[in-house]
Amino acid sequence: MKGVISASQNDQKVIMVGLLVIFACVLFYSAEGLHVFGVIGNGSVADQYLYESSNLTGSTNIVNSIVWDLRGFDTMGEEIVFFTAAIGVAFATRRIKPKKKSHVGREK
Amino acid sequence: MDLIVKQVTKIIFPFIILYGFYIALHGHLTPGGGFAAGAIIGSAFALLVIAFDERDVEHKLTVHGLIDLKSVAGFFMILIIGKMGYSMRVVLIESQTLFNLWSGGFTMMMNLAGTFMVSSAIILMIYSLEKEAWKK
Repeated sequence: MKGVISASQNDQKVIMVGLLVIFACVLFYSAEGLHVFGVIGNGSVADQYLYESSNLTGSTNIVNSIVWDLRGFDTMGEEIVFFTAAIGVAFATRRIKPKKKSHVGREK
Repeated sequence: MDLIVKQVTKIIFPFIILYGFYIALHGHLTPGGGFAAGAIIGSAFALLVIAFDERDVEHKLTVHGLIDLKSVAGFFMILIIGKMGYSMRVVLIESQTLFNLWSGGFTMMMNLAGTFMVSSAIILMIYSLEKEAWKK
């Protein structure tokens, strides 16, 4: 384990800080290209959901079409989390049947 | 529980189930959807469990049956989301008219599958906790 990375701990810190600075620069540069928050009509995905969801999914309830069709995988993950909680409750409160052959030592 | 509670539960139970399926089937037209419908159906079974003895109710829906129901509903959900392609979606939506009951494309089927998943999870939780309360 010692000889795998030859740099000392000080050098590792310098490398980490440099990588973080580069990553922050990339994030700031990409944040410049985002559309303005809260403004309708600049080609974001919210516009597509608002104006075309009835044509895309055929349902007139926009909230329902987003939750159950356009973001269907997200909803399925929520359901899986919910059912995992239910299975946890069923597992924690299960009945443990006493074994019939285990009382040989106790009874007699 | 009381005789009054038992009789009222017997009368009102199918109507609560019917209302839950109404919410599920009209989810793409009116407010509501799979989560609300599943909660309503689960609350109907909670009323049944509270009003009657646990031993009268349990033989209808067992824990393994509920888990199987959820598995089948989840399989249909994956089928609807993943395997049915874009072309079939377009054909299905173009054969329907907006604002009718038979509209909504895949949203209606997803609502039904989600209703089964949520209601089976809620019923499973309620039965398990009720068993724990009756165990003593």
